[in-house]
Amino acid sequence: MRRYLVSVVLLAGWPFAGQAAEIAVNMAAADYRPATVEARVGDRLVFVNDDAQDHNVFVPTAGHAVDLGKQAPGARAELPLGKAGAFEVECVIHPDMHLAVKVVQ
Amino acid sequence: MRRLLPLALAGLLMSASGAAAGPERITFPAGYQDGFLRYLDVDRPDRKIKRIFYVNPEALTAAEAGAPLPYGTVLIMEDHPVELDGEAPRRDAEGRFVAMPEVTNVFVMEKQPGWGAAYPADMRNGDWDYAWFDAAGTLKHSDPERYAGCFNCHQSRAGRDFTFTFFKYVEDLKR
Repeated sequence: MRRYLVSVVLLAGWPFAGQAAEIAVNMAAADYRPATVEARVGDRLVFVNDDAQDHNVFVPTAGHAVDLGKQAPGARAELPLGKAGAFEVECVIHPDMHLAVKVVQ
Repeated sequence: MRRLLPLALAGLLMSASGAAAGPERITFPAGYQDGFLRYLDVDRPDRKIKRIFYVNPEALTAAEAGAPLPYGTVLIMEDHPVELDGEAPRRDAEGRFVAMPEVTNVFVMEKQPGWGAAYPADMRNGDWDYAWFDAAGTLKHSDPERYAGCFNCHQSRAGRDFTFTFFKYVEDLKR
């Protein structure tokens, strides 16, 4: 987890407390990587389809639910994190893809 | 096409209930906005809509976490356009879309004993069937072939009794 948090900070150029971060989530081999994310309200998840097949990001958790639609290989999809809480991310097409997200203030 | 032909044939068969397989055996659940439980709101940014999900109260009472959902379960997915800020959906204080009152689609899935028997095994969704209505309750499409996409997509959730949201909702309630 620490490795991913460091990569998030570097990706976003986030040296200052309170600045929103952009957190990349890759999808190669029909697997969300990282598989867990800790973020702050105001951050954004950016799903990068670096796989060779379509994916479809879907959050079924009440209060956070969203369907980002079909995402072709090479496409990016963004999910702004507007409220604190924990939720799960699935793929409509691939039921074994899972990502756990925790958002804090 | 190979998948659609069995579906067309299935539409001609009669289920155990005596009604033809397909959307016409689903009765529009009039009054659901008042009588059903609204259990989930899903934002859909690529279509600029919010989808509101409902379940009949009897099904919610009978549902058990991790178990197949009871016969008589009726699930509704209702589409609303959302308020826009320029070209982008406007978000509330928690980052959620704001639905407009207009209802553009009402998708219903219902589970009844024997309903799956009319469908070929490679496309059957347990004993579920699907129907697509407008806001007034008029069936938008009566041709069973128009529902092949419903069956194909929901097959990915066979482990959750073919539901994307309600099975998970019940599981989360019991945590």
